[in-house]
Amino acid sequence: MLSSLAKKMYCLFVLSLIFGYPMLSTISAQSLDSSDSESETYTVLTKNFVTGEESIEEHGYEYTRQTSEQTSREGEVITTPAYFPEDEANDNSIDEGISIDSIIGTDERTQVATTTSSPYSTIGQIYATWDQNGDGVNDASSTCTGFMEGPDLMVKAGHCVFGISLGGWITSLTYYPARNGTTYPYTSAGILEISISSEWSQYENENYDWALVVLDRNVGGDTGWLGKGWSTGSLNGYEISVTGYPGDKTEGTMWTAEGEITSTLTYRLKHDVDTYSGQSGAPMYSDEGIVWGIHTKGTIPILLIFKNSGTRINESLYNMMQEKYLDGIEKYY
Amino acid sequence: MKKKALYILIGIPIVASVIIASLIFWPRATTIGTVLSVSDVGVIIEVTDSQIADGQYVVTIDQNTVILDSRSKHIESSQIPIGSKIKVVYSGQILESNPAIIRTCYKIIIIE
Repeated sequence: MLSSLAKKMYCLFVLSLIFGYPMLSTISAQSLDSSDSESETYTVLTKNFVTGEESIEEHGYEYTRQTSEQTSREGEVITTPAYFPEDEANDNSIDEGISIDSIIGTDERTQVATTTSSPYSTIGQIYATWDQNGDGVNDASSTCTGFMEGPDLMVKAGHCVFGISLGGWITSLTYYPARNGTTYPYTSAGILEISISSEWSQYENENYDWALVVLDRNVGGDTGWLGKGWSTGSLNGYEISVTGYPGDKTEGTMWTAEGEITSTLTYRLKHDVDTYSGQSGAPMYSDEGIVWGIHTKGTIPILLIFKNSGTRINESLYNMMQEKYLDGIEKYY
Repeated sequence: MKKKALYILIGIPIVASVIIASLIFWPRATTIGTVLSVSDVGVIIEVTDSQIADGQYVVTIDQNTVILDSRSKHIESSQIPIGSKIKVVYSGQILESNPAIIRTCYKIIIIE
């Protein structure tokens, strides 16, 4: 028989295992985002798809990084509202009339029946082509989701427009606003220019997995656009929807699901909303149509600690989006 | 006898802790697919009957990716035959474009 000391030691180890596990999870999350820096300069790479020219800009935004996962909601919150044009199906409020076409197992996604109603009209599917081998011939294609953030500003994930494994920049992009299967309610749009972070183009740093796309026409005038927000405090517990074009459903159909933000990191927001390939670039937005993040990543659950996640709209990204938004307003209004 | 039991009872939680910690800090997932195209920086594969959903995936190859042939010999990405079946060991992270992108690929092993 074991001595009482041995029993106590054993209990101590088991308890440390039980309580140590969540602590390790937290430390793991923190280690991804820890930094001593108090501010940073964004280096933004912009490609003009009309002239083919590339330019690099330094954006000297003041930005205080958090040094760990946030839990307190206290802090500054800045938002710009969504804009939904008046139409028959829209009274400038969020449409609740979603029809449920199918639910598979625990899959909580539901199909959006009326993609022209708000806020769904602001979301669209993206079709892009790539020249993986650099031989001047398009040899790969991909689809993603994007959403309007101004008259001509469409926001999406960086890996949907630039991928080292796919030969760098996309060679072409077409945005289909509010696509609904074989129905295209609005005229499609092409690109004028795309801006991404050099952190993404050089290192594919997931913290900078975003892209700001200037379209070649005033799509937002027809579809409206979503609002955007950033907060210095935690967004944990915020109820969000993620709406996009999953590749496992009928081609070109829009699906949405709800959930909440489960973890707030400096550059990332983890969430528990069901998603699938094809939904990268989908907005993570609240009932008021305020986007807090850009969905980018799913993760195979290992020890049940990893969640789906997206790029967080922080102050820097918010400011860049606001600049492009104002450029569009000036251009078209 | 007491000592042996003590070692076992203490050893099991320690080993379990190490395993859990390693899974948290260095997560591993594997999938098997057929190679459709190859470049220096990526492989496009078709996945069927694997841990992840069926379909095409882009596997990102970087300087840390180890590529082994069927005899466990190191090879370059350009030596991966199109049509071969490969096992991909990665972090479990998938960028959800369509096709999806498998990131942080640790190892590619040609199995057929």
